[in-house]
Amino acid sequence: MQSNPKKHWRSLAELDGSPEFKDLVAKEFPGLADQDIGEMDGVTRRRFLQVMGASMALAGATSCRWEAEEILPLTSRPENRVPGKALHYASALQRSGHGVGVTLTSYDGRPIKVEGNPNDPISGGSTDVFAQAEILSFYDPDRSRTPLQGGVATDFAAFDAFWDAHIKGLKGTKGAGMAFLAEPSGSPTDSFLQTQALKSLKSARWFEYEPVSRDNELEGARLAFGDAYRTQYNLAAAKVVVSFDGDLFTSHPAQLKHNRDWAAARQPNAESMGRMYTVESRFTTDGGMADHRVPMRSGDVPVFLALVEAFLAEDHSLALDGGVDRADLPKAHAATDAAAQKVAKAIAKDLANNSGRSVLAAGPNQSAEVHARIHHLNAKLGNVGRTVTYTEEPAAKRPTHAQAMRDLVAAISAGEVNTLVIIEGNAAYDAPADVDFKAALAKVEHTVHLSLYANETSALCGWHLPRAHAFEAWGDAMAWDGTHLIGQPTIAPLWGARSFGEFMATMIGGNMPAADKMIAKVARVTGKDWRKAVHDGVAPKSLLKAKTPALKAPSSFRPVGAGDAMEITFSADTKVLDGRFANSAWLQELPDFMTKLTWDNVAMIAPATAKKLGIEIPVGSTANEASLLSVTVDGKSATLPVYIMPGQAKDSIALAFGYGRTRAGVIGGWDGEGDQVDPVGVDVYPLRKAGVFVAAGSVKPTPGKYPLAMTQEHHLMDPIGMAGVAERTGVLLREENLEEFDPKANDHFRHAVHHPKLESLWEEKSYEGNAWGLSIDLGACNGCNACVVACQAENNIPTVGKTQVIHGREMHWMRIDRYFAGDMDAPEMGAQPVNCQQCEMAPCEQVCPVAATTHSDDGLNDMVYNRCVGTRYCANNCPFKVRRFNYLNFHKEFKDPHNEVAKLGFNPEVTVRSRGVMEKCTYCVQRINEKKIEAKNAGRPIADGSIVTACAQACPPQAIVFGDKADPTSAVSKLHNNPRAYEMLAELNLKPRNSFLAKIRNPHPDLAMAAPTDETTSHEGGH
Amino acid sequence: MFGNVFPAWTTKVRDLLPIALGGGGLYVATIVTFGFSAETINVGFQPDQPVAYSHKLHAGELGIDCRYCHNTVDRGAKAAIPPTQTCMNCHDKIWTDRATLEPVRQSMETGEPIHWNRVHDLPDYAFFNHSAHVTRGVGCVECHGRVDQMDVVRQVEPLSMGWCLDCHRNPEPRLRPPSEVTNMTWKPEDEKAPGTTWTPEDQKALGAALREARDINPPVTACSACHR
Repeated sequence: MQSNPKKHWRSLAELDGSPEFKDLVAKEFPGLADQDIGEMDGVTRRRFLQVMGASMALAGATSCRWEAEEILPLTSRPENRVPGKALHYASALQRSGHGVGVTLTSYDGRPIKVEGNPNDPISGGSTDVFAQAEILSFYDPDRSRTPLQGGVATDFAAFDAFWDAHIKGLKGTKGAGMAFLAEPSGSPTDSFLQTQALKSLKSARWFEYEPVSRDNELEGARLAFGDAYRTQYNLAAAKVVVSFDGDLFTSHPAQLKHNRDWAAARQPNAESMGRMYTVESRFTTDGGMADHRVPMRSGDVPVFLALVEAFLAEDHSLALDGGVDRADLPKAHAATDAAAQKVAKAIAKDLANNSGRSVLAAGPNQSAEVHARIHHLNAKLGNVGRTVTYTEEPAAKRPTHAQAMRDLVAAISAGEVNTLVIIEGNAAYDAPADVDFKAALAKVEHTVHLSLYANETSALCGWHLPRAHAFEAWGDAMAWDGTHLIGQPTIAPLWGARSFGEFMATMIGGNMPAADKMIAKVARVTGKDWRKAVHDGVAPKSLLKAKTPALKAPSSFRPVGAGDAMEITFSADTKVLDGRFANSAWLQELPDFMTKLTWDNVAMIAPATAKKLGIEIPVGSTANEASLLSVTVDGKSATLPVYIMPGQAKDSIALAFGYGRTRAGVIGGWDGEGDQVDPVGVDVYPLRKAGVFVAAGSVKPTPGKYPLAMTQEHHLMDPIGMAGVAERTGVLLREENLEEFDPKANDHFRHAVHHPKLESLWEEKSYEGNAWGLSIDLGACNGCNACVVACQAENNIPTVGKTQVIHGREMHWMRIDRYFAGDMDAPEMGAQPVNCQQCEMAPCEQVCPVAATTHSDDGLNDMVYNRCVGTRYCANNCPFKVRRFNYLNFHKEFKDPHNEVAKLGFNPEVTVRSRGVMEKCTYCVQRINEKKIEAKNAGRPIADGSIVTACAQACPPQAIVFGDKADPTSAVSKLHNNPRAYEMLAELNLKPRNSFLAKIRNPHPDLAMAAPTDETTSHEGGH
Repeated sequence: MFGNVFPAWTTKVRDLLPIALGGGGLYVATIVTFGFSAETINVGFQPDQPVAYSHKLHAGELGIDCRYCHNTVDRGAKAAIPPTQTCMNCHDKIWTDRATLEPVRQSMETGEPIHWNRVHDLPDYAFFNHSAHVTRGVGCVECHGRVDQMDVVRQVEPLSMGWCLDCHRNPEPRLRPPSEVTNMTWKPEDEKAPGTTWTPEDQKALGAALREARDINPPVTACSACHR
């Protein structure tokens, strides 16, 4: 395979091979020497010595013993509670009306970690980044703590006094003039309460709004079937998946299941390995996972779909009524050029050959017509009932979110609303540009906003009430497939807060049953079954019935594609979503899986578009300096930094919502009382009209530069960076096409790199007993970042802020290297998670002057924080660049009494590191020790699979497996002996404990193209 | 020439300076070595407690097993100070009007925990697990001393890292049958067969047998066993 390896590259600067880039690689901590040293700014040597002298003097004055501690035992300890021992509770989160089943780890009554609930068929035990980051949001000191009246803190008693009287009046008029604006809820109990409340308030109106909705999907089903149905994909049974404007693995509410199922279908095996095609404008996970990705403007995607249809009709007699002949499709068009024709022909061939074993899916940005057409195609190809099934759609009856917002504002303008109750959401920030919600809100006499944060909308409401977090109240939710998830409270509200149910009860009156009784009633379970449902987090009865809807006759489908204007696409951000997570430092600092960008949103443009606009690729020392671009849609403009994204469709600009918040908090931006905080990123909602995802606009480069904090060129393990070893250093991410892959050729990838016989400079140790190891399947990894946040939550990893990220000081123990291969206009993508490889012959240990990093008996590379004196030699000597240094005290802000609550979220099993200390992945040694002690106490061996690292637990496609390599029957041992297994930089005789499974791609034989080769890393002869 | 600059008495100072510097250095070294050692600072630490609870009375004279109150010691990392409820199991029947028990009754009534002062306080970066030790047969008395003779609990061992490692390197002399872990008066001789004499060889054999039986291999060089 290595005779003709693909050239891998991480950024356009690297592809360019500029001298500045080579210089950057040579530096361990780029930009360090030529910058100030952070908070020591302005401190002179003299002042420093004064401070030091004073602290030495004080040291003598304090007591000899450290601070005395108190122990406060409970007055009576609940059953099964062992102080200091974690308990796990099932809970349910909601996002955009879709339930997420989670399991909470609770220490001494404090939830500290979120995991997926294995009983939730969507989660299967895994989570996405948002669920992992929920702990930080839960302990967010900026969460609303008291009710506000006109922005002034008050209490619930004051609100109740007003509300009780007000509701009495409203009930007298059957709720005339009352309206609700709620974000969609996936809770059947919430719906029940809503119905109850509206019984006595018959004239009240209920509106649901969500800025980034899946309404096109619903409308598409209505077009195809006459009614809305929910599509359920079974990717495990699929052999061919075609994704139109990526969604399946990216933003779909069932993406965890999709990732897991598809990873199973992608086992490299000539008979059954699945193949994926993606046609999209923005580079999504779907595109990253695709064997063939065609970048194309979102507006042109329907034309490509028609082209595939035309080939199905022409080559395979699978014509669909209303289709268009190939000859009648738009000519000289990006969606019908020679390259597109070739791919469309191959897709048609694959679809025809895999009848009943394919899946076609369209993203929420595609129009209802495209969705409808996809339903018809899935039926035509025999997929319905096999890989594609349908269930009821709980939102079938409601109008679209865009329409609901228009209706509400119209009702207010007509003077029909004098009381507006807003449940969660943030319409003042995210309402469409063509609907003036803020002006309408000002006209309403009584406004009440129940939400977790006092946000932009709360600021404009008469009353704001803090809402109880899902961890603080009983709750339930519906998973995408209809599973009824049950969530129990794990902690009393940190501050006074009301749940949705408690708030609705103030309108219903009478004796309301307790929240848990109500959920049990809605779930129709009692007694023991209820206890089991609470324990499992799942009620036995599914909420959605399976359906086999009949298709209507297809209407004519003659797409013409996007016009000549620049296309602007909108989507929820991959990190802060529609803006709701803007105050989560973990998510803000998370490098986006494609751009590796933190703390900002950008206008993503294709390299070709950049050329056209005269924007240069920033390289070298100015790599962080982005050009600015003014984007205009219908007369509204926003100026954003430019990110030149390989694989972005030409003439299409991708923008992400969720930034530019002004009432998020000290992380996301704050312009209210107290210290002002600049918003993170730029708000692009003002450019977007109701329900629009793809718009025509114009762009103009603007003078000036803007610094972006990207991590893609940090911590490089680059062949060119290692002087003189270019010839013997193979690529780090190894891959092969299925055709070439020989499952019988063992160690094939291990021998990809030629090296002389390995000899050690010092005595090699051997390890007895357990040998912990990790295996990462690069074929399954899609770079989704769940492991990165899971690691951060488990190991008390701090965030450092944008400036420090620019200096290369981010602290993530796990990073995901994203590689591109091939042409910069349409590259392939590969992701490689890199944590400490726990080398048996660890080079970091050899250079530590104080033995702060040493090996344990079971071969772990331990890091002893208290011994570390901060020389950073170890980081310098680590070829994987996985060591992180605490340049500053990143936990300093927790000393502020307002922020102290955030300390409750720390994992008490892991030391919180201070300034001047090196740290790195420990293989979650606290979890190893816990299980080891449990097993030894019981006098039994440690069962394989009982120790799960945080990254492995979170991983949606289950690409990460942890276990004992010394046990030949363990899962990790078997993976270690997999024909795809290899170790990174094994030629340096490091004996890493991590192994990777090479990525196998499965291109269509008709589309096999010669990959561009890289002369420096190819080696003659091969194996 | 220098004589003009420095007065005559400085000659004496110059002569005494090496002695002062040497002596001072030695003094500082001695103070630091012995004054700051765990034995000096930690052993004998005996803070006052909010309730005049006597281990001497309860564990010693009444013979209540350690695990009646510290009932998580063999299940979790922490031996755990018992909840107020544990006190009240007996004291809502006996000594119900004693003034010394007022804080306990008050805690039970109000739900406010009693603020006990921690005696055995390891640094926060050391993660000790009680269950890993007591289930292997390391007696309470090895680390906590004769608690059954203390009215107010006091620290008797330094609990320093060197002290931990002494035992981790050579656990045999500190092992006992797991059934005897809470026995404050157990001696290895108690294990001898009736009518035989106890020899140092027997002692060694007992330690080795106990170690073998429970597969005891305490981590010695694994920093992450206690620091993570």
